[in-house]
Amino acid sequence: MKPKRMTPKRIANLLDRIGCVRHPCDLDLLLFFYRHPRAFLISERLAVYVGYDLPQVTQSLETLITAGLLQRPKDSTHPARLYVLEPRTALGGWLSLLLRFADTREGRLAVIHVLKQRQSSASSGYKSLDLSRTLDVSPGG
Amino acid sequence: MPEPDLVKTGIKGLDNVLFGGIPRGNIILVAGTAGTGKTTLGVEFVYRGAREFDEPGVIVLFEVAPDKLIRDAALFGWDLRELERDRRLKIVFTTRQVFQQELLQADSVLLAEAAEIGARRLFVDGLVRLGEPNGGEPREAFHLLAEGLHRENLTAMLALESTFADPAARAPEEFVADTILKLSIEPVQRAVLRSLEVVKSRGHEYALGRHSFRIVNGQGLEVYRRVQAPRSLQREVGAAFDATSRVATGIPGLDELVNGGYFVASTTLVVGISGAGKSVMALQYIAEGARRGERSLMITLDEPPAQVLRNAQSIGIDLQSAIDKGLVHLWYEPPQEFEIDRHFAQIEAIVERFKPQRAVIDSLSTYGSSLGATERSFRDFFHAIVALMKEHQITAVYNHENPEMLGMSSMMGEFKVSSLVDNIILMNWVELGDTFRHALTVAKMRAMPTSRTTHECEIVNGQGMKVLTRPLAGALPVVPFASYLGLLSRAPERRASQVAGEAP
Repeated sequence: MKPKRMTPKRIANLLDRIGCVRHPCDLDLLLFFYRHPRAFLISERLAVYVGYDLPQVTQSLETLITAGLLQRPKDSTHPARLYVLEPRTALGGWLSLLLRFADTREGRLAVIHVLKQRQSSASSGYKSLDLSRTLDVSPGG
Repeated sequence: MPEPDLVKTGIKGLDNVLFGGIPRGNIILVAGTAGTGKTTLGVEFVYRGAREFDEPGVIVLFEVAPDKLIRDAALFGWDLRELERDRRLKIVFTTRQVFQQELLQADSVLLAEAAEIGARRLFVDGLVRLGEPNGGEPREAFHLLAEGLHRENLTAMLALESTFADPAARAPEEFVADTILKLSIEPVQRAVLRSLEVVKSRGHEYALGRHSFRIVNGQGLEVYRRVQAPRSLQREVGAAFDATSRVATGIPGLDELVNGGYFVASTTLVVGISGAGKSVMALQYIAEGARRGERSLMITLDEPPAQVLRNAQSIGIDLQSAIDKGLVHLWYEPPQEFEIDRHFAQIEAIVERFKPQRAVIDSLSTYGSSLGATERSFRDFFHAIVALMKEHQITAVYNHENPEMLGMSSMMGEFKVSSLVDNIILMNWVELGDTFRHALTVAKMRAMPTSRTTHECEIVNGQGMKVLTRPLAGALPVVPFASYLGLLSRAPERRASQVAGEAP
C-alpha cells in the first residue's frame, strides 16, 4: 500500500485530535518514551536525554501525565521515578500514528515545525501554515 | 542429599554444559568484551524462561534503547513485545546509578515492578565496575547489589563489560558472583571462534573448559560442549561388547583374513596413501550394510556428496538408492574453518537420530590437518568419537591417509592414535616391474589372531575391490629368527649356512 502524504495540515489535524502535544518538548518526551516505554529515571537525567531545561521537562511531563499518555506512580519517595508510556488510551491510534511519523528525523522536524508555527500564531495572532512541505507516512493507526 | 533446584537456561547446548542448569537464586555474571554475545545470552535467558518455563522476567537496560533490543531480538524469532503484552516480561530503561541505589531500598520500585508480574529471572545489561556511593570498594558495592537481588529470590544474570587486558586480574565482582560465564572471541588463523567458559558456579557441577558457541540467526545461541570434556562414565560402561558377532566388510576375500568380519562396535583404521583404495573399501563396507538392511553413516570431509555418489557408481554401487531407502546417511562437511566442538555435536545428533549400525569417516587425516598434530585436540577428538561409536554399538571404519608411497615407517605418522583403535589395515602399493599393485596387510586385530601376511588386491571398474586368494609370488618359507642376521636393523639377511642347508 502506498503511504499517505503527511502534509502540515494533516499533522495539525493529528495534533488537534491528540490535543495535549503543544510544545516541542512534549513531542520529544513522547518520542523518548516511545523508544523507552518503561523508564526509571530522575527528571534531571530525563532533561539531559531530551535536551530541554528542567522546568520545561517538568511542565511537559505534567501535561502528558494529565492527558493520560504517561503513567508515573504518585506516592514515590524515590528520587527516580518510573515512567510508563500508556499506549492503550483512547488516543492510542492517533498517538501511534504521530509517533511512527515523528520517529524519523524528517518527521520529527515537520511536527516541530508545525508546533512552532502554532506557538508563533498563538503569540502574534493567526498565521497560515506553510502548506508547501509534504512528507510520506505509512497508513494505519 | 536433595537435588538442587536448577534453573534451565533453555539455551541450546548450555544446559548440557551446566549439567542441567544453574541453581535458583544464583547471581550469574556474564563477562566479556564488546561483541562477545553477552546481551544475546542474557536476553535469551529471560526470553526462554518466560516462553518455555513459565518464569516471567525483567530486562534492565542502561544504554541500549528498548526498541532496538526488541528489533534485534526479532532477528532470532523472539517476540518480546508479545511477552510484554502478556505480562511475562518487562523491559526497564534506567541508569546505573539509579539501579544501584534502587536495590539498596527496602521498597525498591524496580523490584516491585518485577514482583508485579511474578518475575523469576532478571537480566541486567551493560554493568560496569560499580562504584560505592560513599567511596568504598567496588566489591562491597557489588555485594550490596547481590544481597538486594538475593532478597527477591531472583535468578539474576548481569552482563559485565570487561577488557581482559590482564587475564590474571580478576574483577572484584567475580568473587561475589555465584556463577561466572566468560564469553570470548578468539582469532583462529584468519577466522574467529566464539567460546564460553563456566569459570565458576556455586551449588552444582558443570563441564570445565572453554566450549564453542555460535549466534545463529532465527534461533539464538548454540553452545557446543568442548569435545574433550569427558562424558559420563556410565555412557561408556553401558555399551555391551558382543564377543561373537561379526560385521561383514563387504570386500570379497577380506572377511576370511579378519576371522569373518570386524567385531561389533570395534574401531578399524584403514591406512594408506591416496589412491590405495581406502575410499573404495569404505563404499563397499557401506553398501554391504545396505544389502543386509543395516543403517550406515558415511561422513565425508574430502569429497562432496555428488562426487561420492559418482565414485560409488563407478564400482557398481547405487548409493543414492540406499540413501532413498533410509539405509545410508551421507553427511558432508567441508573442512575449512572447522569448529570441532560444533562438528562433534552434529555427529552426536546424527548418531542419536539416525541410529546407524555402521559408520565410515573419510578421512581422519583431514581432521588431523585441521586440528594440528602438536596439540591434544586431534587425539582428544578421536578419543571422543571412538567412545561415541562404541557407546552406540556402531562398527566404525576410519580412513587415514599415510603420505608414504612405498612401504610405511609408521602407521599414523605424526598423529599417534593407533593405540585407540582395535584393527589396523595397511593399504600399500607394491612396485612389480613397471606397475604399482595394490597390497593389503592386516596389521592389528584386537582380540583376534592375525597372520600379518601381505595380500594382493585389485580394484576392477564396475565391481570394486577384492582381496586375491592366490599367495604372493616368491613368498618366503617360514623359518626361525635364528636363521637371520640383522633383524632389528630392518634389513634381515639369511645366514649363508642356513640357505646352503635348505633343500632345493
